Amino acid sequence: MDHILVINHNESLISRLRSKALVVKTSDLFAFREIAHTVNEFNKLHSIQAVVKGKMSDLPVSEDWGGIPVSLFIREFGDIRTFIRKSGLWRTLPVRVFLSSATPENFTYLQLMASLGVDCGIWFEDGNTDWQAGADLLHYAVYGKAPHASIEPFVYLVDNYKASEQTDFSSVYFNDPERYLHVDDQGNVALSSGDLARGEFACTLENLQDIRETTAYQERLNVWQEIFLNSESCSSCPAWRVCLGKFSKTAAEQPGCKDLFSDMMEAAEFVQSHASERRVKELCRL
Amino acid sequence: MLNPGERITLIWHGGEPLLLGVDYFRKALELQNSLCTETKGRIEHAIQSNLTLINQEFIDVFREMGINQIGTSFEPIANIRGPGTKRDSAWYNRKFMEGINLLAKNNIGWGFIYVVTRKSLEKPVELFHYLTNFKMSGGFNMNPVLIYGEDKDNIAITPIEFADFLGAIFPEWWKNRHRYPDVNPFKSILGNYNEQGRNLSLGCVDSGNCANSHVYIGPEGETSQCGRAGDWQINSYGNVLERSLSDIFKDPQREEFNRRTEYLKDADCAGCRFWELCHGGCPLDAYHKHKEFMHKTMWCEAKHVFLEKYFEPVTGMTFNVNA
Repeated sequence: MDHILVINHNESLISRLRSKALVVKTSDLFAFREIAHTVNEFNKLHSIQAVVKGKMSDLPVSEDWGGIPVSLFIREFGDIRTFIRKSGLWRTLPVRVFLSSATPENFTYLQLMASLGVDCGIWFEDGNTDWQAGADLLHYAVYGKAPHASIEPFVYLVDNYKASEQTDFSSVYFNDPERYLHVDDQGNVALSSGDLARGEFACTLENLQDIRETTAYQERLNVWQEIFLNSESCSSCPAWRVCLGKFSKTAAEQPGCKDLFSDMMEAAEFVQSHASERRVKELCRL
Repeated sequence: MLNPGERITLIWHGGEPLLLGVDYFRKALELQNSLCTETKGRIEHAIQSNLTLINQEFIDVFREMGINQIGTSFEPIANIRGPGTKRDSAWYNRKFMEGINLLAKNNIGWGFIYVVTRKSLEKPVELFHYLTNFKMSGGFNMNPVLIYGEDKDNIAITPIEFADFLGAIFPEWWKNRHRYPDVNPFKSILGNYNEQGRNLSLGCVDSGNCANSHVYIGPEGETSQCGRAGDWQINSYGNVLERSLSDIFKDPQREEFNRRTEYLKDADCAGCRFWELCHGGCPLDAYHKHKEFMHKTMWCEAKHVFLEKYFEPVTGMTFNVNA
């Protein structure tokens, strides 16, 4: 499968590309329509990744965003009443709103958004993550009986979890090198957003087709083994297979990630074991 | 040729068989192809390696030999396994990782044995999670370390300690066995309990019928019952350069192993309800302790304690075949 390229909103770069699936990064909420138009001329817009400042409730959400897939990352939620007034419009748009995990109240706001039909997700950032609140949100996302929108990365994990394989939810954040590659304005290709920020590149757009053969790519596929070679605490965590050590820097002081992702595995297994039951219900509804 | 239905498996075992060099295996394959023209289709190869020397050349010749799976072992605890007197496990395990990555690139499977030592006893559940995370498909076996001579590194464990090690892990495995389906000995024991004495799947150690199924061939062509018998230079069946394999398999010394199974049933193992599961265990384990074969394995206690103290209470199952 061809990689999806994550790029800046750079028309010069976009014009160099043909028949590629693209994620375009921007912080300009008024550029969505233009980005979609430019990209879809010769390529395909996979999603806009908008990292924006301010409060979610205050964003100038617009019907103009209709039909444009957007992943919107924001740290603050803002005012509940203001959001509720706009929630009808949010609900109709193909937008997923990610709120930062660094603000504990955001877990509550995510549940509120999902309950109002707005797809959303946790944006894991360094800081004091309230893992218990995360676990509560997981339970709501997976077991909640009342209709609600999806909450990531839980939906991804439920849909993709296999007990006999590592399940990497980095895709939710366009950061899995098996699916997404990050390209700078000069056409240098990195395997993650972190590599891009550090200027560590695996190849250029000109030799993109050979990236899977590069040493950097091969090493990245096996980078998980470092945790095991160094016997880091994550290597013996029962939940490692779904978090892959993403929180290893904070796990010692904040071990709650273990409980959240252990619950996550059980939830995924529960949903998958009831999949046939779900199918029957859907058929009945028809 | 005399028995057209029979197949033979050559298990390349060491020490470390890759020390032989890739040309050795090429020559072996060449000899097989030229000398066994009519029977080569019934010859299979398997190999046990620590993978620290594996490279593309080895993989290419192993593939020609029909090998698509390599048996190995792995030890995450520092300074148990590795070169030198200090056991440089950091170097060793990095080479091991490179080895498994090369196997994966070539679509060659691998399975491993985890050898339980005294150091393993400190954190059994953490170790279990480490190993199940590390090898998420295909599973692994947990075996007790077997010390032949002096225990210089203080790693030996008792049968009870091995049983307790397994017992500490077992509830976690049982609760989540759908997640870790191929962890042994749990999987095989569960399978045999489910069968209740019918269609049991037992390895050479437990089958009670190893007498005529195995032969060890050493580097000089010397033969014996199995690798351990070869290591201890007991039950010599002569040299394969001077005696046919057919004669070696008919060697009268092998009868003692058959007699042992019959004998133990009414001796050490009389009335044991787990008889069908182990048949007195490995004769070489008995020899290790008693310097003769006509005793049950010294690891009998490990099996009894694990099954009665842990497996049966946790699962609610009972092995009733002889009850």
